[in-house]
Amino acid sequence: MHTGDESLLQRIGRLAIQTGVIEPDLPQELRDGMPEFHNEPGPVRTLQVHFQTEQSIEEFAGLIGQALTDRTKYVWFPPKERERAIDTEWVGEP
Amino acid sequence: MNPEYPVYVISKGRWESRLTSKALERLRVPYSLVVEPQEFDAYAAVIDPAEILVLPFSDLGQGSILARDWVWEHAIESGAKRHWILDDNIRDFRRLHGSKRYRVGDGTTFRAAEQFVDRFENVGLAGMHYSTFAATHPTRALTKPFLLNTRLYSCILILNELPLRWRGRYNEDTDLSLRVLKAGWCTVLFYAFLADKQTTMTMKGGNTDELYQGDGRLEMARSLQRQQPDVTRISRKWGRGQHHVDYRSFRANRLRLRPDAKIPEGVDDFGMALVKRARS
Repeated sequence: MHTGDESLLQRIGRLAIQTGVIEPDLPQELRDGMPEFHNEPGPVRTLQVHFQTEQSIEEFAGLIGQALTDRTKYVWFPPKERERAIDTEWVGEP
Repeated sequence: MNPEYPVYVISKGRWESRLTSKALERLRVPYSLVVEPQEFDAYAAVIDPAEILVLPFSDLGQGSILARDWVWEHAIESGAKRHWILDDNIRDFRRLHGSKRYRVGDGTTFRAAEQFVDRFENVGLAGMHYSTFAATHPTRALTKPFLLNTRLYSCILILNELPLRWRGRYNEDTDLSLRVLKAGWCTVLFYAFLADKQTTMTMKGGNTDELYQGDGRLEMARSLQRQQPDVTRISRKWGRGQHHVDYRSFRANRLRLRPDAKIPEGVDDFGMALVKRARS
């Protein structure tokens, strides 16, 4: 038996999938003919920024060029346009 | 667009909330509400009696198993290839796309799910994931529209020809999923199509009163471990028993395309369009 043996590679591949070492591929044809499914990746990094004073908040808002209100929980940098999914819905043909 | 296969909602003691029923009515999806005889009048006062199926038994103290099996036989008698069985605590249905979980305004996601699984000759169970579990992860996008070979909960599409039936008293959906997988079938849990389920044990009615009282969670976990000892372990989390199931051994169950399957190339949105939502 040598390492390039096709049946050996297949067995190793099956074992790797079974044990969760690798995820099985999802061939494109399994996505065809289905509704579009594309999701943007999330942030590569999220930081907490602490402010000692109200003035610091204003300065920081000026630096990043975004408004920070009492209700602001997070910001994107650079800014991202926010789409409100709550106002819309997907409707198909009758 | 509506589902092709019959949709059943099993309900008990929830004629006031009847979340799933209300959600399906909003989508104009035809369904049958399955109730015990002593509760027919209460349900008939709030929904069209023509949509109600009355079980030939009541209050047997066995959870929903007998009702689920009755539904299965009813679906077979109707001649359908599959049937949907939904819990009665689903608030809404959604489509995940563009990193957002949009509400849907009709039954198209049910139909799309059906058409997808019908491409294959070995999908035993399919269903919609809970919306809460399909939030986009901060460090990776959800790249797969479905997860293969795992458990189905609460919103399940069942292949009627499966040589299995519901059993047990607790975790019946996990147990059925495991038996289907062990028999070599595949399961498909959709991320693309979602269901908003009310958190278990936060609603009156259903199995809450009968099964979940006392240290019910631990008993549920033990029950599953007795049924599926090779893949189940129990831990204590937040002071209560919790089961953990290892599905990795089923990753080798591969989807088999039907020889006559015709798969259109590219995206098919089934005519869905994103529209401004009509406020109800």
